[in-house]
Amino acid sequence: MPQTTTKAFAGEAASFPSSPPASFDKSNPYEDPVAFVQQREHDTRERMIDVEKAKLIRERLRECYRNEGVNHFENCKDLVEKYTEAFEGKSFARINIMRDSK
Amino acid sequence: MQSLLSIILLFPALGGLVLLCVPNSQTRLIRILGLTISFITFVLSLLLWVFFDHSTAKFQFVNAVDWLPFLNMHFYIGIDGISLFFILLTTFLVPFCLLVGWDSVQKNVKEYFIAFLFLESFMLAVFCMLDLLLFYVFFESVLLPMFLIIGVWGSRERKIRAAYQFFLYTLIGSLFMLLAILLIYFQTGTTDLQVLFVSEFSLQRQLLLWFAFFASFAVKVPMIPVHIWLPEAHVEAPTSGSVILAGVLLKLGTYGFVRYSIPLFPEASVYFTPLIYTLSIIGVIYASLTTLRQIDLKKIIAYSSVAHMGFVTLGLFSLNIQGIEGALFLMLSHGFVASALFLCIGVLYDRTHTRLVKYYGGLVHVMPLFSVFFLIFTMGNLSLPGTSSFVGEFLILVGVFQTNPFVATFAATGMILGGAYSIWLYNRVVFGNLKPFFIDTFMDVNRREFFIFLPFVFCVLWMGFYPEVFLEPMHTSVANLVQHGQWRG
Repeated sequence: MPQTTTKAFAGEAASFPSSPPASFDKSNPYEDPVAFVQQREHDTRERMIDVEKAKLIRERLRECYRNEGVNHFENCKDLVEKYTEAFEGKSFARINIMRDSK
Repeated sequence: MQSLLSIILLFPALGGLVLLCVPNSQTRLIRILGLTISFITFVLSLLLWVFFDHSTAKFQFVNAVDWLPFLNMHFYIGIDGISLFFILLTTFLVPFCLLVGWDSVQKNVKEYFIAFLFLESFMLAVFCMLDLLLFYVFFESVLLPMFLIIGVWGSRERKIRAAYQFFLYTLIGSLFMLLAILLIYFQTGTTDLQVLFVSEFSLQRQLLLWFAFFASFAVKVPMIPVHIWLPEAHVEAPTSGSVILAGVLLKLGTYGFVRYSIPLFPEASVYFTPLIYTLSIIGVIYASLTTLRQIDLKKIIAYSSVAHMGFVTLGLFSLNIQGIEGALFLMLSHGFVASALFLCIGVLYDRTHTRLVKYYGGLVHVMPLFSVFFLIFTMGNLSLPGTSSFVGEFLILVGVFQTNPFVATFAATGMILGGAYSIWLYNRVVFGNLKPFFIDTFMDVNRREFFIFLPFVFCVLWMGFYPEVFLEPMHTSVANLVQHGQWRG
């Protein structure tokens, strides 16, 4: 059954720019404050998308484990690799950057 | 819809002004009017939740009015996922504060209602202010009605001392923040928070500014060793004052950390994390042990609040998503649980006019309904799974463990000590033989008290069983905060 969405909801959602701002300079992020904010939001969004992608793969992996039973070592191997790739180095981690250590 | 936040902000204050015009003798009208105004504010704030866009970390419901345009200072308000629930918590608690004083407050009724309505507006302003100087103004202005509430409607002669202590502690701490704000203003030329987020501060200056802000927020949280004002203020304040003090005012400090200290000075936040961890751990363990020694019911809850706020600061300075979300969640949960426990003590105090534990015992025989409510909130206080505090403390431990497993281990002992003092308190008050001192005056909760407790029970269990409803709107804002910290470095 096709999922229906109201026009109002469809209008509110998904109005984000899909690419980072061109004017952002990583070596001097304070030069253009607007680009700074846009870049930060873009990065946050991308990270959140990565997290959600990993969750989707995890769901599929869980189904695969249940369906395959003892054969999951062989038959779910691709999904396991995909899942590992999906979250490796893509978490939000923690604020830990100190200027001296750069 | 854009002006909804402004309406919510102004509505209680305007209501307070309307109450000023009602004659003092019309106490019933004053009470009904005051309660209606605070209830309408709560309903309006629910609309914020309904129309809140979870998908963005940008400030929403933004409104700006020129305040001192020649100094580049504006009355600039807006909310994000971090402040949304503090607005809701404030508007939720105030009607109950007014209801709890329905019968017990008999003198200066009009002034009592006006003080609470103005206090509500000031607290809401703190949570949605996007201008640093005006944040300071409202952060301080909260003291004024609270000073009056403790000093005028408090219960004993010592209340004046407690009110002074409360006022002066916060004021002295905040002085450093004012100086820091001036320094920020003279460096950047603005106090607009969103501009400050993208302004560069040198590491040395960040350390100085962070410490000045810390001096103010640590008093408000309160962190050990500047926590002495809290048990004094709680014990002397009326029940409603304690509810708002535990429910909202303590959160102003931790909100300050998460809204200002961490995003404005991320490097300094990292640098001072060991200091915060040390103070928080001492706070958690020392306050929990102190709680075991207390004989005053309100002091027990007050010291347990210090311990819980220690958990919150731990979570905030874990500086990762789980820790910060857990801290926000625990702040919200503490707002319900500690407030409800103060309401429980208020119920006992209304009947016996004493808060000393030794006069209570065996209440389950004469107050069975009260005993059930008290049990649920006591379980909430000791973070039993299924109650709201568990989710918050668990997330905080998850966050802190990633950063420092030793600190997480010490913090976890606080949960055990929490269990010790909470269950012991319940055991002494509710079980055992019925004490004969006030045997004639004990009666179970009345209809008003029952309907005050019911929403608190609902919220504590709702947050415990299905926390995602509360965590989901925070995700984007907290993720953005962590990302911001990484960028600012």
